[in-house]
Amino acid sequence: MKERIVSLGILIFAMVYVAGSIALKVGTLAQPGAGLFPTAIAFCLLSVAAFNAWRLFSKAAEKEEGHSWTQLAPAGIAAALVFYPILLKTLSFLLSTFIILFVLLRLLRFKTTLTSFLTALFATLLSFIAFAGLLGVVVPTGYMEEFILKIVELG
Amino acid sequence: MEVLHQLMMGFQVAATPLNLLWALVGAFVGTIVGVLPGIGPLGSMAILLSFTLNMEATTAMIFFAGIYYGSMYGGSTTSILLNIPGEAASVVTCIDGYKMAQKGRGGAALTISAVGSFAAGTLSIIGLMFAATILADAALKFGPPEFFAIGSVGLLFLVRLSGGSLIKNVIMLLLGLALATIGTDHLYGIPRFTFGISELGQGVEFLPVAMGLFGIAEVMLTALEKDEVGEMIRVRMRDLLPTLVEWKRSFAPILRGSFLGFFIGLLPGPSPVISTFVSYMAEKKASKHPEEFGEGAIEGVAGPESANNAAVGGAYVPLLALGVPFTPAMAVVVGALMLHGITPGPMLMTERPQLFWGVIASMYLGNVMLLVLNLPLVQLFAQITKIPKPILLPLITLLCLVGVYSVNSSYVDLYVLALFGILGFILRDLGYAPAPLVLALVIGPMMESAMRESLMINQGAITPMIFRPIAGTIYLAAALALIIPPVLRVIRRKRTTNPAA
Repeated sequence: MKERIVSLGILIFAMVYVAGSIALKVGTLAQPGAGLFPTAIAFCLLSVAAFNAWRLFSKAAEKEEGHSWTQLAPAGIAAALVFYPILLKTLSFLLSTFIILFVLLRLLRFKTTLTSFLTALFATLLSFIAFAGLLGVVVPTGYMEEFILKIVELG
Repeated sequence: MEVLHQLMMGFQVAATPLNLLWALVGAFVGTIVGVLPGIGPLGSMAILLSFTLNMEATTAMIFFAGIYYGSMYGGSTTSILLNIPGEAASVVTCIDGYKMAQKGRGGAALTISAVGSFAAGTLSIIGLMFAATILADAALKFGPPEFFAIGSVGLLFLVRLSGGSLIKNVIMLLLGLALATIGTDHLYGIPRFTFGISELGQGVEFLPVAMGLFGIAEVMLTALEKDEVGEMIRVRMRDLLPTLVEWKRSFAPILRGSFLGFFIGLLPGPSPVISTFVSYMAEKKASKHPEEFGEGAIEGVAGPESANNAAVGGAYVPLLALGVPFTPAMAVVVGALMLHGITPGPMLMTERPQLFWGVIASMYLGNVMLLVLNLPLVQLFAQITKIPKPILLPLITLLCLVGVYSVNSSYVDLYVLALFGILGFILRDLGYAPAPLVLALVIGPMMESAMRESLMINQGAITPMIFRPIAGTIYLAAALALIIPPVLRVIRRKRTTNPAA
């Protein structure tokens, strides 16, 4: 079932990509436009994706292989990844990184809540000092970040 | 003589205290990466890309080279002592290495593995030095049709050699090429598939895609596996010395593994992994005691461990000579060079000889460092596998997130990382190999430019693109390499079914 769903997803992507490529200026072989290479790729992808989907749908459904995609750990990691940029934009670096790290540690059942809290706190501070303090990476900052940066500068 | 003179200059560059320090750090990090299952050289190099921003380009390359060959060294330790391959390229070492350890010869296996890796690494650097020089000279005669030929043939080989389902590999390759077309068209300035997102005007960044598909997807897949580490076999310092017979039996496999590994390393795809399997089969065929294979044959450790290290040197040849990365890890190296404003290619050797020869010389020094580092610290490195998953995985995720963000300070890159992390988890779970997608994304823009320029030069004619002497030779060689093995297989099968023929 999972194989079939993914093959359909790829097929739909290929169809959309074909439509998008044709909409670009294809040009001629002597004067290739911006759409020539994408169109060539798009039709190849459509053919292969269609063949793959036909292959999977024409044979009897096999016993499901691989992992379940809805298990808590990978689903939690996926959610953390999606929410991190939103949190980073609104809460600045330290708080957003700490929240995500703490949630991940709890999701993966790392020792106690207190240990997870302290580990997340320590790792967040260390990564901030390494990236923003020492490497000069520009991260969204608030009062706490500026305070730590001043301490690092003084050090 | 010219080569030796240049190499001496390279040693002067590599032997500066800062470069020596970063070669050591790279080798150390690489060994840890090799020991840890789940995070490979590609993921670690991608994570550490932002660390190289403040370094000199040569220092960054020396650091990355250290990580790459260090990881090949490290992978063998856990294979031999724990029966857990830290790296895909060390899977084969488990077969005989762990058996040797069970019989009390784990120390000898570790020493032979380290010495073999050192010898192979050194031999492959000599090969790299000469092959890259010759190829770079030849590449100066290359035009757009030749670069298109190299790109397309390289991707074709990659699809063939990536293992698993051929059709899935082709799909991943085409998806990678499709992604490579996102961004502003460099000839006409027309935005393509950007959906009004200004950050996509420069195209899809390679780093978040690679880290998503390799790093995050690996974290998600590892999170589903049980946290089980077997009992480690202890090795004392005095056990590290192989017997005279073991040295004698290892000599030829190390040499064979080095040559096989170097030449397989020149091919696109997971060459270090493939080289270990080929070497193991070759050793089994060449051995006077094939029955010992699988029961603790020293040749089964010496050959494959030499081969995977030699393959690293081979993988650097197309990158340094042509500017074309044939493995995902080499694509990260290209990314690091680009961050420093350097475009790799045939001119690298003449325009930046200090970088080219400095990196090569650092590989010699790095191999010595690894030999000195690995044997006394073998128990310490093996202990790293005991770090529990619930702490390791969140920290890797954090490094991926901050590492990706730090390169461009872009939120779009974080969304791309999330998207490809989730997609990578789904696709890898179903057996879709990520390497063809990642490499197609890197090579795609070069192929498109080469194709369009070739067509314009030849006024739309396709045949002159294919039948130019160098391009034609590349296509012919590729066709022969792809057609001959299946034809031979058919002939062999016919002979076995019909022995009279």
